[in-house]
Amino acid sequence: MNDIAWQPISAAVERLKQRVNEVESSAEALFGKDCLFFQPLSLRPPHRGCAELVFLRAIFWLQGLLHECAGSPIRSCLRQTQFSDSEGHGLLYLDELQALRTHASHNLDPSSGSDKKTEFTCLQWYRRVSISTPPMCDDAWNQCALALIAGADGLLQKCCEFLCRLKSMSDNNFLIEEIRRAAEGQITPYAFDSIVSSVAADLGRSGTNLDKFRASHQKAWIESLGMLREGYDFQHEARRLVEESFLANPEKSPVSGFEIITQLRVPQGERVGKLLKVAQQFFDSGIRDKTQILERLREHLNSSVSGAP
Amino acid sequence: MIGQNKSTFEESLLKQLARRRPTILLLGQSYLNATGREDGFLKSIAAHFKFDPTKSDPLLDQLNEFLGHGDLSGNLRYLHHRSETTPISQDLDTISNFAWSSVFTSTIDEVWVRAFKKPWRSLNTVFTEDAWPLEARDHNHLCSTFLFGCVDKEDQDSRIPAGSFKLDERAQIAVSLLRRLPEVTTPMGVVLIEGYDPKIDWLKAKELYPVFNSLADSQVYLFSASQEIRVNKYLAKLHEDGKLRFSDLSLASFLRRAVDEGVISFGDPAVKLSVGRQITINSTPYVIPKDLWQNLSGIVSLLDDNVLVPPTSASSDQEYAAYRNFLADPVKPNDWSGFAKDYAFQRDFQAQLRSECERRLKQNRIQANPLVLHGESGTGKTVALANMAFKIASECTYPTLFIDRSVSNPDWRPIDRFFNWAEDCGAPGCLLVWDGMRTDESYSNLQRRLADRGRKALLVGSSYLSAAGSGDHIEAPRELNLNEKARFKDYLARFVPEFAEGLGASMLPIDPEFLVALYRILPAARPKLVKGITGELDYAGKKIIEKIKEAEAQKTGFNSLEFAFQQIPFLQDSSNEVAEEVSLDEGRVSNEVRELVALVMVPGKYGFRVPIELLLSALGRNINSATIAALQTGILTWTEQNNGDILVGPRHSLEAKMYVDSFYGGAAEAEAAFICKLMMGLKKGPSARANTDFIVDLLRYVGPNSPVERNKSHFKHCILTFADALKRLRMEKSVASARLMLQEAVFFREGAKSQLSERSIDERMRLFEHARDVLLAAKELKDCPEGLKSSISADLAACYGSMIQSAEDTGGGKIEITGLYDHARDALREAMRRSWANAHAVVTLGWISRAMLDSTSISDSERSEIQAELLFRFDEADPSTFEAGQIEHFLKEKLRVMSALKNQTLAEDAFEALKRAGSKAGYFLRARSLFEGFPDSSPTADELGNMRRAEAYLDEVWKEVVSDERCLGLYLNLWWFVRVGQPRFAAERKILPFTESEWIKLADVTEAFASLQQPEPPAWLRFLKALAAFHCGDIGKSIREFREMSSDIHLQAGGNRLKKYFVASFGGTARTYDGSVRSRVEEDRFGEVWVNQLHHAIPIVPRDFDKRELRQGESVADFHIAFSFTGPIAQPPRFLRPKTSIK
Repeated sequence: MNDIAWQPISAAVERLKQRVNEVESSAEALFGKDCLFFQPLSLRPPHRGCAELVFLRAIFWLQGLLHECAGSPIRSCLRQTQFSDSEGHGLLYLDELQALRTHASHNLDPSSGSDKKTEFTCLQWYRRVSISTPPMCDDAWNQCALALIAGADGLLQKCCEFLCRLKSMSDNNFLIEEIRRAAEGQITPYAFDSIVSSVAADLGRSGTNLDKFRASHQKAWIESLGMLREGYDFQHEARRLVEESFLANPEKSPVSGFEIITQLRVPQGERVGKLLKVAQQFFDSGIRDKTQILERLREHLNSSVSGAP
Repeated sequence: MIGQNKSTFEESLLKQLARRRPTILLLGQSYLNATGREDGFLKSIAAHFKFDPTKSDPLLDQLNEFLGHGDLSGNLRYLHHRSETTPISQDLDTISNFAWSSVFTSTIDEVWVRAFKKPWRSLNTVFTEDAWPLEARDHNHLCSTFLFGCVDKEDQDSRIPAGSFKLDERAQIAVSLLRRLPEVTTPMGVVLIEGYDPKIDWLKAKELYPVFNSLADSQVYLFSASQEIRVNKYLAKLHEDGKLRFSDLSLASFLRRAVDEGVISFGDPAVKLSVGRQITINSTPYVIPKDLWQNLSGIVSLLDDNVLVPPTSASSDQEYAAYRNFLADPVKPNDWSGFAKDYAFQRDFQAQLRSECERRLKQNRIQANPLVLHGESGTGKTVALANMAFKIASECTYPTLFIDRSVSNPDWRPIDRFFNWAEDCGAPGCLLVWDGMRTDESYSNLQRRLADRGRKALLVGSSYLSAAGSGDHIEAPRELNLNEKARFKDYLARFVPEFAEGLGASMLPIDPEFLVALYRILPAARPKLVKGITGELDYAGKKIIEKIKEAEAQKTGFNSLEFAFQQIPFLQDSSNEVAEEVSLDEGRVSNEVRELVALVMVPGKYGFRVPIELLLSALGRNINSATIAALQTGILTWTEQNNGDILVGPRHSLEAKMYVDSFYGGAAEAEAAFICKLMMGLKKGPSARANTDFIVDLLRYVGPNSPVERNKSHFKHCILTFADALKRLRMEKSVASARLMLQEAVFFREGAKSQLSERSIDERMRLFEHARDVLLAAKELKDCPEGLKSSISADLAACYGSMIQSAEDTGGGKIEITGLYDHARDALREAMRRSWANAHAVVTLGWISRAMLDSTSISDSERSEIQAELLFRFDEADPSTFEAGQIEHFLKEKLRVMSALKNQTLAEDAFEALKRAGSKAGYFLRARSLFEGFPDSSPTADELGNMRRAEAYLDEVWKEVVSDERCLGLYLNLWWFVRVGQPRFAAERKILPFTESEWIKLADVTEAFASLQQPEPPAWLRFLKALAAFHCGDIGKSIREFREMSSDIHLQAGGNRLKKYFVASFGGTARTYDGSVRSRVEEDRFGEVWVNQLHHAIPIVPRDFDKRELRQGESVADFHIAFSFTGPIAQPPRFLRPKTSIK
């Protein structure tokens, strides 16, 4: 990417960083220093590279910034009628950003209605922004990157104005409280990672892919935490939720029906299913090794044939 | 909650929500603390007003008491302000994101109101029993019923109750409003309650009890239901009886879960794209303004980008189910995926239809005539029209709207506004598809309306029969041709290859009803291929094919639909308790169920779907679990319109015909009885207007003036049955609607004229008198629309006319007949004054007057008066403004009238008698007798000479006749013909030959004539008046008149509103002007040019001058000014061609 192309994008990124600081300052004036509007973000802002890559970096950076680090307070601001966005452009921007992120990083399922919608939304966005679907040249990618960053800037500018307005508004205590609560309640999904690892170790769940486990449950956990009275102990409450999820989703025994048929020579039929349940009971009782479970199953079979209890 | 399995509560409700039926929210007064948060609003006002939280009285009751004393207005203002600064919580936001059908609330704050206002939704508020919202279940116009008022209101009806007595009074209103809930919910909907605590809520549980008890089982769900709530006596009883279900969950949590599971989605149900309602025109997406699409809701389906989101791919079983669903109900307001997946069978005529449609759209001009697809029921017209609409919309060039048949009298205004916006966005044309099964004239009228507004829109309609041979009609043939039959098997093989194979092997004929029957013939689940021991194929469809073959062998004239329809167990015999998909609880199919089905099937036979409220109301107490189950069977189908209206109908009108004919033997009396029963279901309420529209449309379709001949003859002995039912509806049920009363009068009048030999003169006169009284009463109704008054007056005149005819037949007395004629003439004058386009009135005057002229019992002067009136009205009538179908009636009647007047002469003594009586009819007739009549084109020299004599005669007696409407009208017509040599609007781009003094004369005469034609002179007269004012130098007056005409949405110019008829001229020469552009204007847009000679600005369009834009201050030289009904506009020199000059 040459200087001419990179300069406006770079300037837009710098402007946006400045805007983030402005929002944080406005929030600090309302809630004090202890309550952050933006949680820390580890992702780097887009830096110079090929045009498409800059655009992709912008998507991931903005997704992190506006959804994961400040999604809760931003959405809380957007909900209020005092926020000047009666046409819903702010929410639309967030939804489109989410769709672009999904489109950029996931294999979409053509049989899924929501995936179809995501794809169509992105194509429409590209068409609107760069008059092509999808962009086929560097100029078009640059246009997309600029539009994306400008959209974020517009949204944060409105947030800033809203927070400033809030400060001078009479009887503003409930509104300030609502936004503060949302900022404090902003939980990044990564906050669960250490808890998930700890609970998994305590429960001996060595066979579970912890990243996937967290990803599939985080939405429900965050929602449950959102319903607690304020001032709750995050570590304690989150651990309870994580434990509950682990218990509701027990690890599966490593023995399959096929192994019961081939290794224990049990004919196809209902009995295979019953033995699978027995294998799961052995597994739950702490026998983790497949060979050991099969051995115990063999014993179980022999005892039931001989009529032993 | 995490990791728990779904409760039966959730399962049951999710299933109901998945069916997308009416979902009503009842929001209690505790909703702001529903998720463990404290109610900040209540807490703050308690602190402000210093309420005692330790008192046993709830805070709301303390507030009520407090408001009863002191400064109510000031306190309400504070409450409003505090409510406004109460934040919208995440849970409330979640609840607000769902597309509720209606909201009932006992809350008094407006926090939820702010939350519920969305870019895709407006709120219609109801505070009192008198308020009946037009849309009771419209997601986009959410009907919000405030049971106890709202803090943002200060008027007595809407504010919150102040003091315990006021609260008691308001509680009565709340109960009355709450009684609407079952009707809005319908037997298929659900009521979800949040934030309700019977201990503190002003809405008491004992008031809720009878309302919920009138609903069916499992229709009401109470969320955030603590143990304290569950033990309430009334709620517990409802729960015990299965009417109410409790949940610990908050409503917001439940909704979020339902969204996660894909059962529901948040936001506008018709919208799939985040951006909302968007339409792509020539590759550019445009967001459609909210007011445009909201006004279209309930009238049309808008085929925007949301409809074009590509459908998902599916497994073959899912595909089969989707295909069968498509066959059951191909056209749904928001689901066009069946057309995207090419489920529709393409008949040969569809290619012709599409190509003709595209050809016309590409003409890129105002369309004069609609395109009509005609053919019998079951030929595939609906599918063809919808398929074409979808395909053209998919190309994103021509914005497309689709009007379903169930829409009664679509309002053209929102359609016009949408098309106008689309054209401004660059659309070269627009497509309006109306599957209305109406007469050609209905389509022509709408097409002309749009043309008058300058829309480049093409209307494509459907009808049973049309005038053959016209280029504006395409026929959908009944029989499938050989090519179609061959393609049909390939088509079927795409979805059910086994079945197609079976059909091919059995050599079954594909009869004309096969397409309609296909849904019934195909099994509910995909036929499974099972490999047996011998390797032979077997499938469920094979059995059906065998049955069809048997049926064919046994019967002559095999009808696949009849066969398929008779396979429905419900229809086989009354002892069979199983409907197609839902088992009926009762031991047998009861008479009530049969009645319900008949109430749907009888209108369904004529293509009508019944509004659910009307159906349930007509059934009255006969609604039970069996009837509700019957509503869910595959015999009847439910359709939810975009505006939330629910219609129940047969799957196809042919099935309905089959049902009605087989159960009631085609007896018109039986059908009429069911129609009357439906009529008696009409009552006041939120759906009264839609239900009235339905009844009126149905009655018109089966009544004596039906556009379908066979309907007329089928019900010819039932006319008075309908009339009596309408009378009972008015007298016994106090349903007073001017539209229904007009129908009642028509049925009584036509009833009196039917079966003449069986009716005595007295009986006939009694029926006519009844019709007259009903019409007079209808005109007096407070809410009688102005437009309808013209029709009522015309019908009143027709009623008097019928009385005259009857009296004449029996030699009625002189006084009686002349008196009746005077009444008739007055009624007709009123009808015409209210609407100059009322051809029915002119025609009625014709036949009544002819009857009078034949009468021997009137004097010569009376006869002369009648002649003058008749000649004037027929001379003045402007057929171009009449509705398309009425022009023919008018022309026929004109012939008869002129023939009747041919040998009538005015004797001198009659002339003197008229003069003595102060009548100007003598002058009129004398002048009129000097020439034959006004020709449609240029008069011959002789004719022109005669007209000059007539003009000269009127000039001679000018002082006598200047105040007479008839003479002045005649004079103006003569004056024009003598100077221009052509009718007024014979051609475009006319240069009028008038001198300065002639323009002044024209201005005087038009002014005087218009002053006699109040309140609203006809459009042509207003045009000439403004044109004359312009040429007399009174530019301001002229522009004002044109501007008023331009903004008059009722003005009718027969589709010619934009034609540039005249050019500014002087003495027969077109004038040229010059000036400068006032501000920059783009190619297709209207700008303004300052005209130096006029010292006035007039419109200009750069494209007319071959310019891509006109810049501010840019000079425009040597242009002409042309005039249409919308006013003057600048035109380049090439606008005029030499031949257009008259002199």
